[in-house]
Amino acid sequence: MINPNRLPPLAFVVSFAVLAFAACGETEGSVVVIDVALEAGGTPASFTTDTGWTVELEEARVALGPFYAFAPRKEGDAVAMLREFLLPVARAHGGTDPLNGRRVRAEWLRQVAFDAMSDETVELGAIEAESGVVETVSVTLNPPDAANTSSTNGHHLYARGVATRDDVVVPFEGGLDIPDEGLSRRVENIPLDTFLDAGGRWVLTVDASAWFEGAQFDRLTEQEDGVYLITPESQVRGAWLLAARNTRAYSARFDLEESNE
Amino acid sequence: MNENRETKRARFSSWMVLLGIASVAMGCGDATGSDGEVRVDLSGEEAATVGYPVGSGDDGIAFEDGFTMQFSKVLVAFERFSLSGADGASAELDADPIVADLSLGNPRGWVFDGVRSRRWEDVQYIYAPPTMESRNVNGVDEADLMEMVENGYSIWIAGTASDGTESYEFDIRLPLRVLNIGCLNGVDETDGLVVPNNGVVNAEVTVHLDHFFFDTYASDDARLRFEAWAAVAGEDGVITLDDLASQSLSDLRDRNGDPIVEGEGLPVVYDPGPLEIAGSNLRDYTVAAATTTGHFNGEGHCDYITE
Repeated sequence: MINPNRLPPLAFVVSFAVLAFAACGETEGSVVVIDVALEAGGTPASFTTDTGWTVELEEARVALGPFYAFAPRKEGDAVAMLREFLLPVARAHGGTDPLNGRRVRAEWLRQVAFDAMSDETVELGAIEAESGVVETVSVTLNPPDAANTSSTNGHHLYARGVATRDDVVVPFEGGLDIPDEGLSRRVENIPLDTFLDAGGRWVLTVDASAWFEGAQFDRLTEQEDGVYLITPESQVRGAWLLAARNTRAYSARFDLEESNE
Repeated sequence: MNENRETKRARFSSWMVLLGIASVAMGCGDATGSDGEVRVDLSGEEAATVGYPVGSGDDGIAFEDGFTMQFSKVLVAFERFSLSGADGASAELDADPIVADLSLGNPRGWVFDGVRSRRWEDVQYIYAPPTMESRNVNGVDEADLMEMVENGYSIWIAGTASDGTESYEFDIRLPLRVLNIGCLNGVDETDGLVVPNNGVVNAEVTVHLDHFFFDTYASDDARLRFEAWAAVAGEDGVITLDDLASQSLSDLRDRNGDPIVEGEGLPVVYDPGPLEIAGSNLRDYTVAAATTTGHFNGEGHCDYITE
């Protein structure tokens, strides 16, 4: 028989255990400080596209940010289940947001004009994040703000180079402006399978060699001083619009210092 | 005396704690105790039976490039329909695998008796290839069913599209396995459905056929197009999934071999948005688009996982 006088401590212990179990799993959910950096490690000086063009990029810049690191949608913990129960979750569908309602572990909220040809890692700084499992990263490609507009010549992305196929040589340059429609300015589902923890560095890599997949440079028609322009009406611009927002143009990793590994 | 007061206070507190826990438990879970009936119909909406254009005014759906379309087959196979609660409870429905031809109408898929009366927040169902044991709910042609079983097709749409002058047949067979989960209720936009006490709830698994022909998944302003499909019709005049592979999403060509343009001469680009797409051609795009067709009670979106 249960002694009622014993119930308060019993209830307290059980409640505490349940709450502790729900709130803690390893060190998940702690506020930690991590560094954020950008790299262009994937962009070789010369590369060949899937359409057979050998491209030598002389300039490749992008206005990047904000970007986010998301926890898996189904975390299986009580807090996540409660959150999902209380918050609306949008469904992947034309124009809806597949990441809306997901838990953000880390976010870099400022925009950065990034030189995607750079050999050096660009250290953006330290942020406070939440420790835990991360599954995907999302990158936003907004119009350049006042501080960044000169770097990208006023465009979301800017590129200049020479494309060659057989005997056809096409010097080109131009900017890409992404329409403000639905999710058009977001790159979703960049994979990052890691446990985000204190003392690490979240690195986002941009691979400009993926920007011109599907591009047919011989279909550029407008010239200026012998350089073909990527105009809004051109096929190259359409291909660039798709490729620059494809996850193949980005990768992410999380480096932990050895002492923390 | 003081000790007695403390003991009474402790006893009172303990029962209040228990009462609170019991209230929370009741609120989260088994709040009733009676049963109801769930009837699940299957639908490809009006378009499956009358084609496109369909509807009128703001609710009308038509091809941007003027094509009309009729479906001769909308075969869909399901492996499971399930209901779970946010508290982890399962309705434990005995949903057998079924196959239906939605071009013939809206057949009843399953009827479940004795389902616990409550809100079931998580509605799930699976597109999956049929087996010989799958129940044929509305007269799917036996030869077609055999074809689906042998080749692992879970979705098979076929029909005819016309621009008023030329007609094109299409025959798209998809070996997909898609888990549709966490479906919103399209009737009231709540999570899942409510099984009424001693009552009946009518539900519908709704397959949106227009998704096959959307030109974008990056915005909700998608338009239906067929010109890129018509341009790849084989010599037999039938457009198959493999025929679509010859169309690059960034270099779509019309039947004359010219770039497909719109409005001010801007090239038409099919934009997969956040769709996870294997490559960059119209075949890959169509496969990815097919994974998004499953809905619940009309417009209710589901999360989907391809397996």
